[in-house]
Amino acid sequence: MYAPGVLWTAAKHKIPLLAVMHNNRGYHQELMHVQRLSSFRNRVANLGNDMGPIGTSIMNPDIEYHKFAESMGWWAKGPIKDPAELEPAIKEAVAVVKSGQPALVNVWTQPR
Amino acid sequence: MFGPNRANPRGTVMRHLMFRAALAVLAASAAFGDGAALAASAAQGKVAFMKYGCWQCHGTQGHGSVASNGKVLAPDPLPYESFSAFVRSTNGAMPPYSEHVLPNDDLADIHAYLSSIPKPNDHTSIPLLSQ
Repeated sequence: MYAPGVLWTAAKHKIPLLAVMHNNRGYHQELMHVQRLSSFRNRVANLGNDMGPIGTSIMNPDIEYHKFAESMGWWAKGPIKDPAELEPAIKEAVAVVKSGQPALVNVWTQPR
Repeated sequence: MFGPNRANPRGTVMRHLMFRAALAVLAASAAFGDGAALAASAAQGKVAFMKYGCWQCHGTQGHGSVASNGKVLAPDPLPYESFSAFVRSTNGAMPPYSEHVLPNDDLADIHAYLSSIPKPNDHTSIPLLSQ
């Protein structure tokens, strides 16, 4: 999200880069700081459901990073949510990289 | 009125039974912490586990992460009383959650959810990890 132009550069110069994305859908780092301050004031920091405390989650809507990469000329696949889908997706991606193209696999993971 | 009642042995037996029943209730209360734990729901606990953001450090299955220093919540979570005491009073990396922020019923549900999580399969059952 910060520097997506690097994807275009890799595609432009045909850099055979394999990217297996650890998509944890959040920042999470400051989570306990937010909760600590909220607890101090007897407030609930969480917005409810799976939204997470304010400013810590990047979900709902989930970013389709594989489509993002495709739009920049990458071969991409995802989101991988079932571990059983991971092995075949990585094998496909490795074959693409060996052919000289960059490839990205968007894998949903646990938050940390 | 509550002294020995030799004239009414049946009443004495009843009082003994009532005393034993009261002891049983006290024992159950000590084992589960409070009444909320007895009525806890694992399904609602999973919802609460997500709602309060527990999963963001402890993982969706309570399996831990770098943020929890590798400590796991499940399977086999702490007994409810210890679990509750920690959540209410911790002063470490995890901030304390007061009853106002996280009500007792939700906390008991979360404990029920963690208690319902089964042990994972042995890693040798995963073909990729047994190669």
